Amino acid sequence: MESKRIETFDDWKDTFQAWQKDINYDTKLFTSVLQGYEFNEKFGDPKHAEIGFGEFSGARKWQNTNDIPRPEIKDLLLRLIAIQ
Amino acid sequence: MRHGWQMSYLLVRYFGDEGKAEARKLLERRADKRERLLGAFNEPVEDWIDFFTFTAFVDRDGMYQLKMLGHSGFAPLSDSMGPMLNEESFHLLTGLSGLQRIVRAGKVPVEIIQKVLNRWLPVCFDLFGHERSKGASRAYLWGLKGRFNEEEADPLKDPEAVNAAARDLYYRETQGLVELLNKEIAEEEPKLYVPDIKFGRAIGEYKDKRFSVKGVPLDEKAYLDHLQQVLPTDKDRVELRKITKEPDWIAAS
Repeated sequence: MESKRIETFDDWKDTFQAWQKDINYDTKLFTSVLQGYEFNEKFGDPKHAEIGFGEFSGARKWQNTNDIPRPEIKDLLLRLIAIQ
Repeated sequence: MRHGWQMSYLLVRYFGDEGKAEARKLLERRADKRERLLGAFNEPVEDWIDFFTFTAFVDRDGMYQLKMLGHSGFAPLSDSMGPMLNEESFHLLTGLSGLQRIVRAGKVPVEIIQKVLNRWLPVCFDLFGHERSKGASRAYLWGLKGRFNEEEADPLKDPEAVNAAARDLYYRETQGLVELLNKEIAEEEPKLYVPDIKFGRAIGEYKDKRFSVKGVPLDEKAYLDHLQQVLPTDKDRVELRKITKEPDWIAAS
């Protein structure tokens, strides 16, 4: 897989496409079955504007990592997102 | 694959250099080298029964995790979960209906299906993590990850047991799903069951302990003999490959 440095999400997409080739993912078969489908980031409508439990219950949800009150919370959040 | 895309977007967009490095690692860890962080993704899917079992039960665990993250205090993460849950629901439907169609057709021996369940369900139980977890407790108390049934649940008394509570809900749901499969099995045939929560575990209190699928403690030799009886063997795999080449091994609907 190419070792291009990831600075932007477009860089990541390039690496994703290289990864697909690397694992012999059949993109032609995929697009023939799911015509017109494109990978994309998707977001649903927010269900709640406020945090519903825990230490920050009732506070407005954090829209950005700069809103997160302590660095250890941001660190744990990153781990939760990266564990797959 | 799109779920990895979505999480990578969040990592790159919101978490600076560390997030970008993690997003790269998501592509670099290979299941065939057993490098994925979640054990279930490192397990080989060898045939259609594995595939349907994976989508019915491993992806169901995924649904639990997504729903718990849907309560997150970090809006870009919680707002990601609606579309992901919608996509996951197709996996679950494919898996459960696939297993129902296999059982309905009556060609694959129930004993082999049971062995496949015995292989995959402990992996699913492991995905919920340790019975007592300070990390899971912090994730809850800091508002990062809620409970599966957060909106209707009573106030949480023991935050360190939040993984075990989710696993209990999952276990009960799994029992219900296996009962649904049993409705498709002829009366004279053996019935499927969910292996005991202590069997075959690789994480938590029962890790590397020797228990039977019924939860009976065994010594080392008895346990190794038991595994030969209750997990899919090479002979079973050969038989499955033969059966799944026949036209009527799975019901049309």
